[in-house]
Amino acid sequence: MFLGTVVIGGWFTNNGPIKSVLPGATNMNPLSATCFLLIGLSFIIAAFEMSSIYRRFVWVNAAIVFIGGGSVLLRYLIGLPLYADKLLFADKLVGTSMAPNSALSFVVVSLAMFLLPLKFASRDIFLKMLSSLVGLIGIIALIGYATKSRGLYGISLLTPMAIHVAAAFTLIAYVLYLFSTREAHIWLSRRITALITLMVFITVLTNTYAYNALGAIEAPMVALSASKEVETMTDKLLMSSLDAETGQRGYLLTGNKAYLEPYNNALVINKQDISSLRYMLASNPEALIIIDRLEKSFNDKLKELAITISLRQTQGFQAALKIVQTNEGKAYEDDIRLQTAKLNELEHLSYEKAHAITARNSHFASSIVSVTSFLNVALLVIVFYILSQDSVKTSLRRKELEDYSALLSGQKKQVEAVLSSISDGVLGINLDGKVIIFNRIASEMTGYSETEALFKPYNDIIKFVNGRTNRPQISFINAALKGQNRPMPDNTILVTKSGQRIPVADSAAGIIDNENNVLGAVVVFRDITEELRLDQAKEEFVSLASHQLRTPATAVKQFIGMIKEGYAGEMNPDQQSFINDAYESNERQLRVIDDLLSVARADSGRMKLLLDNTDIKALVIEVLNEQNATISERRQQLNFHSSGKKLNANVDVSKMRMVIENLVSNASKYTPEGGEISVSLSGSIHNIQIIVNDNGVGIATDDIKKLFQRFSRINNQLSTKVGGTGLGLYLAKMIVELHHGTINATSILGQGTVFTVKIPRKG
Amino acid sequence: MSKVLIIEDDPFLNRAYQTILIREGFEVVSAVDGVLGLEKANEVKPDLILLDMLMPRLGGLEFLRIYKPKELHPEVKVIVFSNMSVPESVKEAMELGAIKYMTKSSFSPKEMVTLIKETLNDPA
Repeated sequence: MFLGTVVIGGWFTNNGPIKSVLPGATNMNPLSATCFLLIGLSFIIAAFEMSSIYRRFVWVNAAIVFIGGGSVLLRYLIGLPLYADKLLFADKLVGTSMAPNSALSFVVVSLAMFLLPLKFASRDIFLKMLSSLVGLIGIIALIGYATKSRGLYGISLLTPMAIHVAAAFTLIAYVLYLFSTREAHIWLSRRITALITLMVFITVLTNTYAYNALGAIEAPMVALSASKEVETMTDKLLMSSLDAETGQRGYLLTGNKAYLEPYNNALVINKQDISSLRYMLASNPEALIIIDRLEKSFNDKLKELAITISLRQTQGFQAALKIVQTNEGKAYEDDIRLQTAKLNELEHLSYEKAHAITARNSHFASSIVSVTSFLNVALLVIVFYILSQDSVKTSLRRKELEDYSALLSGQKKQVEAVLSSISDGVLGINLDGKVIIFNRIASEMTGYSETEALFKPYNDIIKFVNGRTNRPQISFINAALKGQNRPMPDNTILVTKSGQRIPVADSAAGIIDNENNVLGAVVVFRDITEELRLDQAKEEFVSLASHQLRTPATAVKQFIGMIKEGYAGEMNPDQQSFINDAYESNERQLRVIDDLLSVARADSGRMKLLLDNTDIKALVIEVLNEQNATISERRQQLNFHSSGKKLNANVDVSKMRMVIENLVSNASKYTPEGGEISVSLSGSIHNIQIIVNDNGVGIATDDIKKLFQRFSRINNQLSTKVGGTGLGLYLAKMIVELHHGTINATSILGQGTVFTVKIPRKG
Repeated sequence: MSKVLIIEDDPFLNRAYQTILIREGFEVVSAVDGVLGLEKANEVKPDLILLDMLMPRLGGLEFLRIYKPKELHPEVKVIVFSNMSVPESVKEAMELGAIKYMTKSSFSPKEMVTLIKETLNDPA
């Protein structure tokens, strides 16, 4: 994880000593270095996810990298004339323009950087893809360097990718990969990575500076040796001039030409040494002036020697001596001595200067290294602090999680205990129709264990079918999955694992969270075999009991009827009256028994209809004819009106007769003598309507609600006189509703009541 | 003189019906359950049978299943006279050949006599 090293080090050292890592390898392009710096900074910022500017900062960096890499890529692809590195670093672009594979990698990395601050679902997949691409390019280039095959790190004759660029891309790919995973330990390693990167950056920065500073230690040595060399040369010059003079004197005295050898040497040395000195001290203008002066004096001296030598040859010793005695030569010699001394002094000074600078630089460099070391130690302490904090936090978090999961598992156990204690089967399903709750009773009833059932499609486990058609019964579950509550349809059968059929009942409801989202459905079901058996037993009991009650009551009816109807001879008026009352009471008793039986049947849902196409008009007329005697007895007027059409409907005749009888007899009973009763019949395409209207005592508004309730009797001026079971209208309503019809009443107290029955023709 | 066979297990009702019908001039034979009813029916060949439904040994429906008035005795008119009127039983009894299915508790003696006379006179 030394990404930052390469990134920032590369950037910095573009002006320093490590532009390329390997001797002869390509230098890192300054634009690449800049891009790496921006990428490195972005990664550090992204790792810390600092504040709101983080996103913008990373995006701005990404945009710069994108434009930088993209423009260079376009240059390679379509010959774009103006590209970023030419624009920014034109003067330094000597054979170091960005490589095409680097440019492509930068574009890919910039795209990944755009994604970094985003949090959409497939971000991680994109990051992984982009990081793979960058990693691939980097690794290919590295393999290229390792195997010395240029084809892998460079593309044809274009600039090849630098080795540290390749390494940087490989590392960037790794960091991008880390960003694409979101686990906590990765997050921790990101922060530590960032800190270590910072440490390495500081180290490289300061050490490079220190390297440069310490590099100057050899400067005074160079200066010293230069000054020594200058001294040697000046000495040589001085000596050669003196030797030349000594030789001249010998020649003047003896005329022997052998004495002229030093003079001839001096002529050559003069030129060589002067030009050497000039070369060595070319950078020092002050020294060059002195050298000019030295050269002049030296030449003058040699000229003076040349003149005397020539006079000795042509005019003899005395002529030459005269020139020597002018002391002109000595003056030149003194000047040479003076100038060489000056030159030596100058060199010594420059050595002193260099020495002073080096001393100062090395002091500064050592301070820098100390500070860096101190900083690194400090950063290292921070790293360890973060690590320890994180481990403390992690252990705290683990503790919290443990507590929480203990709490959850406790709650889960409670819920499971509650669920398994419920005596009904409970089946929970999610929106995919998979089983998520399956309690003990559900398991016992279906024959599937909880493990077998959980997460399976519910219709593989629980098979509800319609008892008659054997078709799957799932509409109520589907409704529950839409959030509705539905009772289980009648006659639902649960088919168990072993194929056993169990009649069940109850309901299904949507599982809905606090925000009203439907999460699934819960189906509650119970075995109703016993209930059905009890119902049947009850019904059998009621019908047997009523039969047993009815038989003797019927016998009583026959015997009293025989007396009443004269089979036992004439009776006196009292006997007649008593027998009539006995007969009426017996009739009432029989009616109560009838009604009780009907109610018992209706309540247990066993009242069945025997539908037959029936002429309702004929039926009504028949009932009216039967009741006409009673109505006439009460001197009530009976009106009947019917539309002329044929009024047929599919009804159970005997039951519908009960309804009509009940309404007509009620109308008569609750209408005072002399009142009026109207029955009207009408029909539409789908329905037949029967209206029974009277001008009797009427019913209070509050009482109308009670009218159709079981055993309800409304108190009014006539109810005490009229016998009733309180079951008639209850049964009438039940019968009409079994026919899918409606019955309702409107009334004004003291003015009369209207009953309206509507029954569909089709039944 | 028409012959009426009363098959009724309740002795009081049986006696009541006998009394009424004899008074009305019918030739009356009675039985207290389906088994005896079958014997009597085959023995006396009645014109009309008043048949109860719920009886010990052999009930009304079982009687009809064996006696088969529709197929074997089309000349005999059978009126089911019962206090049990379960729709299924009514349907089956009618299919087996009963002419009427009546709730006996709703008939007074005279009404019953009228019903029997009408049935006997009915050509169907």
